[in-house]
Amino acid sequence: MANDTVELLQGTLDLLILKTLSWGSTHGYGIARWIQQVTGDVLRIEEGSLYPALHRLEKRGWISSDWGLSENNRRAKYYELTSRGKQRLRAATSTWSVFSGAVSKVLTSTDQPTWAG
Amino acid sequence: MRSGKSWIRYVRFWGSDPARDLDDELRFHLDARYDELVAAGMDPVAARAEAERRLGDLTTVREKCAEIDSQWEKERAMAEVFHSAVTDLRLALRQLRRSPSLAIAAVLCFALGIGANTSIFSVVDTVLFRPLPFPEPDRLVLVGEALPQFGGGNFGVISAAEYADYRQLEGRVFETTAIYENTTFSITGHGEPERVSGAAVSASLFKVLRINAARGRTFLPGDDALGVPTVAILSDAIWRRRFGADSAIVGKTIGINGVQATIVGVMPRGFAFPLPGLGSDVADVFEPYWITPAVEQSRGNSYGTSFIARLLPGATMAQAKRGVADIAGRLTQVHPGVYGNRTILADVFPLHERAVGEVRRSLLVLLAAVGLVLLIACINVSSLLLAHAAARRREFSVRRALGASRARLARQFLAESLVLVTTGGALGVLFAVWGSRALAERAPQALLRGYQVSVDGRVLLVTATIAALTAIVISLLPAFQQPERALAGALREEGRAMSGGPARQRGRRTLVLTEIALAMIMATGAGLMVRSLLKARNVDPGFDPQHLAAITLGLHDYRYPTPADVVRFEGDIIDRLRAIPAVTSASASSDVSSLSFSIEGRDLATVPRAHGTLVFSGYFETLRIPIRAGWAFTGRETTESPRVAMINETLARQFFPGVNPVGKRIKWGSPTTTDPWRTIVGVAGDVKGTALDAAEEPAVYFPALQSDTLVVSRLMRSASYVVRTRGEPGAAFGAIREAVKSADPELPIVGPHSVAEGVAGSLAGREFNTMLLGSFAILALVLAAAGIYGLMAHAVTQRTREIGIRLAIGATPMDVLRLVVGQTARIASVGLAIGLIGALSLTRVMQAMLFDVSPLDPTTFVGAALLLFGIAVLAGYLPARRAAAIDPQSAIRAD
Repeated sequence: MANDTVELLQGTLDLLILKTLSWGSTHGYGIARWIQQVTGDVLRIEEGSLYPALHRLEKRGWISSDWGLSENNRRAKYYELTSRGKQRLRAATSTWSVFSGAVSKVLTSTDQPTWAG
Repeated sequence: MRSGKSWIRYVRFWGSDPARDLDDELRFHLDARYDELVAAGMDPVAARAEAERRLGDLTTVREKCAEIDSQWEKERAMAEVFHSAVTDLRLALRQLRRSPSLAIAAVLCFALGIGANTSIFSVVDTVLFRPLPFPEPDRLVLVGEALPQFGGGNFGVISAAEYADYRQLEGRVFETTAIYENTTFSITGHGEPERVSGAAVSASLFKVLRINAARGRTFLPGDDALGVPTVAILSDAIWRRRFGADSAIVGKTIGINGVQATIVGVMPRGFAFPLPGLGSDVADVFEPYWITPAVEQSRGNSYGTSFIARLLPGATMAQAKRGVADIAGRLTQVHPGVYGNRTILADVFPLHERAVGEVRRSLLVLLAAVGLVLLIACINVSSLLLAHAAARRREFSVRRALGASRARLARQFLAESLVLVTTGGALGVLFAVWGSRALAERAPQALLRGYQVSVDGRVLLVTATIAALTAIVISLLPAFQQPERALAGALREEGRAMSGGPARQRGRRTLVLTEIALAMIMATGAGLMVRSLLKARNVDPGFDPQHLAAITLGLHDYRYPTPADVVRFEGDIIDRLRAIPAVTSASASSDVSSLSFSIEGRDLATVPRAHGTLVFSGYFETLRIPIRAGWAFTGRETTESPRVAMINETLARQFFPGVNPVGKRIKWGSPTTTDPWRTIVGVAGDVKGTALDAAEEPAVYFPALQSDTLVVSRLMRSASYVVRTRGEPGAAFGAIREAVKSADPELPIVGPHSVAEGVAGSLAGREFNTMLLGSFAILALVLAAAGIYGLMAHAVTQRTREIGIRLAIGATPMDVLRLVVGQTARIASVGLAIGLIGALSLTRVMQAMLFDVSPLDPTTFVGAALLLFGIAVLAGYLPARRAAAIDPQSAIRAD
């Protein structure tokens, strides 16, 4: 059961990370904050799971990382979208739109989900 | 010195420490969240807890990240290795392009060395190393007997009737057993009558070998029982050749020695039995071996049946040996009155050992020789690379100074050698594909008959291993020739070294020395073989083979049932042959093979053996065998006249030393046998019956017309007819064939062939080995000469300034010439001395391959040494002449 959720979340999380980083480089915490802020805390991701995802994306060459200083002068690891990552984001976004559009069509044909935002 | 901390940073800068990085990253996350919560007014303790709760289970996060990171690290490391290998290779290629002559020389050296090795190894591998082509071949053994009273060692065969006795070991040490005997069959039906090589085998033979027929079946138990219809099995070869690969062959009949036999099966392609190497021909037709009453009666009289068995799983050779020795020891008691007071010993031999026995030594000598050639080739390339390395000293010094490690430089050497060896090896394999085919085609029948020699994966694997080892060895040598202390010096000198550095020159000199020593061993070995061949060629065959033709005819007992019929027919053929206009004389003989004999009035400790031959009138005249004492047979001997015999010189020398043997009496078997005493009427000169380099054997001749007890073998009586012709024997072949056809159109004929050609052909094996060993020796000499030339030419170049100074202060060009040639001679002498010692100890293993030449033959040793010395001095002379021609002014001013 948990596995299914994680599998489903994984691709989604990657997409959210890539989209977040498309606004500019930031650290893991920044990414978590931004997603929570934009989704109004509706989409609660377990913050820990962000890091394996970041490492995986970096390994695939979609994002790159470097150590830098945060706003309050702490050493933080900053992630940045690579050009390959940008391509990936574009492709994933359109796939996602098609996918979510199709899913919502199916779903809206019956009743309104209470959690939709 | 680096501090510990900076070292860590260094590592993290390049390779990173993923675990620590992740901890830092997570700590920042927690701290940032905590700061934010506290700023929003939360209690610090609660804020810390909330931050941790939101981040979740850190252990899982760490594990997952570590997994991803380590995988990534691995991939990156691989990529790096690959990248540096590509860099090395690119550098190597660039380097080799810069000195193409070196590259070409090295590649050629390897191509020759590796090609020759691969060719020879492909043969050695097929013949010696590959398991026999039967399942679980290690369990296959041969059983043979020895009769100590009759002299000689183990015959490797038994007397056929004894099979029943040995068979008792089935289930005790042997799983299955079989006997077989090689023979010649006359085949009729489906075309011209033909004589083919055949074998009579127990029905169980194929069960012992565990080989099934490709078509039909093999023999079933009971196929070899007396009185059942005759069945036969064909080899794939004859099935294709004579029967046109007829797919409906099973069930058809052929005539075997006049008996109609039903073909029950065809053996698979590649099935070769009796095994090539066992000394007999591979059979094309298999027939059951019948233990007839006649075979029973020949117990203890006739030996010539091979006994093959498969050991029980788990049974040891020692157990098998005990088993057969036990049976053999009791034969005399179990069969009283058959064996007399004979001692019978039996032994067991692994089939593989027996099958390769004949050719093993010569093949291993060839393999060793070709290995030496490769070694010399390696040394040559190594020496070239060393010289090259000297010239590149500056490049390496600069690179060392810039931080390249010794390992890095060694790796580059390795890359360069790998490029050379791989290219050379690839060329060599091409050469070997051609070479092994040429070897297989030219090898005399006895060596490779029935084997499929080719360059296959196994051989290539060995070649690749050799090539890889070669690359490593030659690349390590120059790499370790870069002394650390020379670094600064080389930079300062700007590469204007006066000499290549004493250490390096010594290194090269050692290599060239070794080369000369190895070439000396090769030259000696080849020299001994050549001397043996020349001696064998000059051997007097004991008769005049010129203008002599021979044919062999086999008479079957079904067509010529009594000895009288046989002799009458044979006499008729001789008469017809004599009637041919181009023929001056003709006669015939029939071999009785090796038999024991007794001399009247002598009580010999061991029963002597001699080769027996039945001869027709005019035999000695036709062959021009000289009569040394007494007279030749008159041709008027009959069964009514007194029994007579002739002996050869060897028998006379061995058994009648200082005595005239004429008038003495001999008989077959022991003094008590029923065979009549025969009076010796003459002594004939020794004849090389089988091959020029065969040993002399005692021989006895009998008049064929007097032999009513004549030996008609179990299946056929075979006689060889010799015909002396006026012109070339080939011109009379047609008439000879016609003469035989007119006597019996159904008789298969072997020949006619020219005896002179046969005599020359008897040395084919020796010529083949000598040719190979000789070519390898020449290769070794050429390589060694190139090595010396390279060394001296390089030394002269390096010492140009020094020589220039010498010339400037009064040395004559002659002095310079003497200096360089003298140095060459010194190196060559030391190499020769070492080689001589090596050759003295190594040529001993060739003893069995030599003919009438001692392995320590002084002529060969001195000759080889002089030849090598001459070549070495010549190779040194060319650079010496260049040195003598140096212009002192420009030499001193140069760079």
